[in-house]
Amino acid sequence: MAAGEGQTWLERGVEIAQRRLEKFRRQIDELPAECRDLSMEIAEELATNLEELSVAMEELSAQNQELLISRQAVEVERQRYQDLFDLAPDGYLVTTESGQIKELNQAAEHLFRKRRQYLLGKPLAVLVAKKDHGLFYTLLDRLRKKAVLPNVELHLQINRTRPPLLVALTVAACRHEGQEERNLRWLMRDISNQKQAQERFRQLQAELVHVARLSALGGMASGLAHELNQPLTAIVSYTQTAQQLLDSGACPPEKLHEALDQVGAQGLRAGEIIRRIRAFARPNESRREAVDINAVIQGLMPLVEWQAQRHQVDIRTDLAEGLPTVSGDVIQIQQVLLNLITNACEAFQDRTGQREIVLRTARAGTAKIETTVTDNGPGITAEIIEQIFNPFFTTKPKGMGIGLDISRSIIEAHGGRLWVTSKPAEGASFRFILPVKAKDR
Amino acid sequence: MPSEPTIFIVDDDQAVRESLTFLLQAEGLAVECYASAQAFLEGYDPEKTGCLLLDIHMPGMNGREMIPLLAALRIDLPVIVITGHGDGELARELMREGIADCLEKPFSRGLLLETIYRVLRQENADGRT
Repeated sequence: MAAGEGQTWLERGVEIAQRRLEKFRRQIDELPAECRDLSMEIAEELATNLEELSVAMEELSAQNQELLISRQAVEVERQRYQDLFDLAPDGYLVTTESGQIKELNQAAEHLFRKRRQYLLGKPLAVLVAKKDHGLFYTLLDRLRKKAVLPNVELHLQINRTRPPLLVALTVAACRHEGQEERNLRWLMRDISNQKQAQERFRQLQAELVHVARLSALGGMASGLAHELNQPLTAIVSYTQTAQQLLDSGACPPEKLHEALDQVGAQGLRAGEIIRRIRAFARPNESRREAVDINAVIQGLMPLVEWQAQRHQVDIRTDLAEGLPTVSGDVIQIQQVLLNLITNACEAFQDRTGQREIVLRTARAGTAKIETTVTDNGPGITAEIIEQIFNPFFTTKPKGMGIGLDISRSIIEAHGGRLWVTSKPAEGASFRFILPVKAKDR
Repeated sequence: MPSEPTIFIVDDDQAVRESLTFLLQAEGLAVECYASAQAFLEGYDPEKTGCLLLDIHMPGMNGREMIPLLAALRIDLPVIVITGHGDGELARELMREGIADCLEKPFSRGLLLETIYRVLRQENADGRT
């Protein structure tokens, strides 16, 4: 009889033994009487044993099946994890504690621009930019004590031609069961684009601050033109009169001197106004110098006088004496003050009655100076106060809504705070504090 | 009896006052300067005749606010507005409010004098005492 499908040789053997036992049993009757009983007993025992063996073999076979299925399942899982590791969007590496590469995924290959075969077994340090070697070895050192080091920025040098690549990495030390040594698991992400984007964002922010300044300047154009017309009027009057005097022949030299002196002085005055406009309009890299707030406010007065007159507002100053300087950028602080004062002037709208804006400076504790721009206008409701510093929020028909947002950014960049207090019908006070320059405390 | 005309300058800018004074005095005209509308209203001598060179944009009372007060106080001086604000609309409105003329800064000496003489002639022709 041939072996059936799925039968092992052992099963075949048992089958054959069972048949031979059958044959023997049939022949028991022909045995001599003394052997017959014993033979029947033995035959029974043997039959039972074979039966049990057969059952055991079936169980074994079933277990083998299960084992096979388990193994397949494990293999599927293993493959799945391998895929997760291999196809992860970030670079994964496994190295020894001393940094020798044991495993890496596709993203890591891509990051390093080298094939796996080339990298396995090599020290990861080979890929680290020289300037960050110190940092790298410090990391390895710290990992002996700490289990995880998150968010470290490191420069890689992939090859000599490319510039260093900035990556953000997280590395963890772990030990597998049954292993003596620990492995390091590295997660790496290329953040050079991100850094570029951050840099670009900073640039755009600075440009926006500049644009807001230009916009403010644009709003003041009439006032500035008016300012310039005064010295121009004087210059024209003096020169034309001087010409007339010369023509008439009756021209005392001191008169001429007086006229020409004034022409020069008025020309310089006009030049100064233009210089101020230019300084304000320039895009500026934030500078930090010792700034006298009171001087800044007083310097601003000519620029705001005209606006104040146009809105028929009286501007009063109440400046504390002997204030220490703050560390800041003069142009930007002027920009904030101008923004607050302009807003205050425009707040009055059609309100009747005496319109007044007060500019106040005072110490706020030992290390801060508080500047307040208070108006006696209609005040601001609580709902609007909540939104008033938001970008693009405005209550004016032609407003862009970025003035206060930018002012706040500027003050906060100076380490200060800008806020408003107001009750409807009781006017509004915009206040900002700036920290005193360290030396001056 | 018509006295010598006085040119009254009301402008908050010192350089403007001084340069116009220089110009008008070189012409042999009498000049009086005030730095604010308020100061003029308080200091004006009603015996004097002539004309007023008035700036518009000034702190405190601006020039425009002063014009009706002149009538109320029976100050008969013709008003020539000198403005640094080149607003044609403003000029037209002011003319309707009864000023004699409006000049935009900076103006030439010739134009200023021509305007002043014309306005003074007009005054005399209207037979004021």
